[in-house]
Amino acid sequence: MRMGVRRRYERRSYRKRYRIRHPWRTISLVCICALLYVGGTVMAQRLTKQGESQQEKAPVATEQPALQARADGQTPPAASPAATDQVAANKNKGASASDAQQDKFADALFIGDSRTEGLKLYAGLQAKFLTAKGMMVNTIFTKPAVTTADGQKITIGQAMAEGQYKRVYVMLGVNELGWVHSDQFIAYYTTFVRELKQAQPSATIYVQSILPVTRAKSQSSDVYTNEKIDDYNARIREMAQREGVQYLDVAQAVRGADGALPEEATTDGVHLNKAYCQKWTDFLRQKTSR
Amino acid sequence: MRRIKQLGIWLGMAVMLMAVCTGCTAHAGKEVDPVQAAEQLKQALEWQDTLTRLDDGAIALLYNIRQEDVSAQCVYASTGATAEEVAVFTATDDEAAERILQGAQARVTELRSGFENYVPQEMQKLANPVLCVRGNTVILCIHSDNERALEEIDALFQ
Repeated sequence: MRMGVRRRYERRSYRKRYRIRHPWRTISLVCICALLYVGGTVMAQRLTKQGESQQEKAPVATEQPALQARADGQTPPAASPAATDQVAANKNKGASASDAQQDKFADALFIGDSRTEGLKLYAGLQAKFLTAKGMMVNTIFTKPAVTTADGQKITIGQAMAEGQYKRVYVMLGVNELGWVHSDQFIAYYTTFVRELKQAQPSATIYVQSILPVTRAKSQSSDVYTNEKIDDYNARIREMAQREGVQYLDVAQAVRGADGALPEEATTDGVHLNKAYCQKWTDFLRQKTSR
Repeated sequence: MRRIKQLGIWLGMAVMLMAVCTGCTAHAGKEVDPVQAAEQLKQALEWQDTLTRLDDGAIALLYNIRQEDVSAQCVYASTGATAEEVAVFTATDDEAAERILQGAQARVTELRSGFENYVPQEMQKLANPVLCVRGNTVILCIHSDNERALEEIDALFQ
């Protein structure tokens, strides 16, 4: 017991001597600790930042509605005075072929599903787009798919009344190919077109045909077949005539010799790549540019 | 003996300090060109869909980010058949990088909303995509193999 007390005393007195005799060691130790602390803090901050970055914030996702597209507020307003003036100027001087090639559709509104989303990304147009993946003629008035500038979620049916456009292009139908009753599809489509006419009274409304799918897709699917697409298109054409809107057979712009979408146009047999989106745009320019 | 022990401890501490400092500079020091980085990721990884480079106008439609926060950018997007996407942004400063990061997170959320009832199998890619900040560079890579994508991103900064 006495030996233990003595050892503790010796250790204490050694530490005391040590500090006095070697102050530079203590100073270096403090400096190294300080450096380690700073280095460690910086590293911890970096790791935390990266960790947060690499994991998705799931709760945010669960708060979102099933379908969402942006209001595309960044695109120039389609019926802006500048755009309207440009169209008027073109009309006055008579639009030439080169004018048509320059047409960026700044006075136009496009409404559609994921295929029209492709056009939005790859055609380089300055039009307003109201699109959403999986959009259908019956959900266009029910599913919140557009986020407004103030963060509200509204349906395409509501959003299409905001702003006035000279031209409105609609393409819907590929997601409805699996419906049992095509009459129902046309009934919903008719309702939509009537609402659109009311929302855009001075616009020329173009209802576009459904684009074909590839032969492989058509043969492997019970839903996405070119026969069904042709049937739907015939009915859309009739509906357009009845409702007094323009029907545009854009399918011919991308169709191959066999009537199907060429394999080179797509990876999944349905969605068009950039080159074919540009064919589609060229067709629209050729047929509808003023 | 005691002196040797103390020397060993100091040496160990010094080595640790050096390691920490080297790690910091390796990440913060290297800057990458977004165009080259996105192109390299596109080439190095196997993609299910055709990825196409977007122009600045199309990027603005997809990513809700302030243009003054970005000094350079490059985005490759899919045809719409899949959720695959590569986006690389160089931010003007740390705060801008944080805002761009939030914009990229919003883009992922939007893709999830679009695909969950449309092509549900794409949700696997969207469950935890690689989204990281290295210095002032923000990278989003939506791919089926996150580990491989992360390896390629690490390689960009070495």
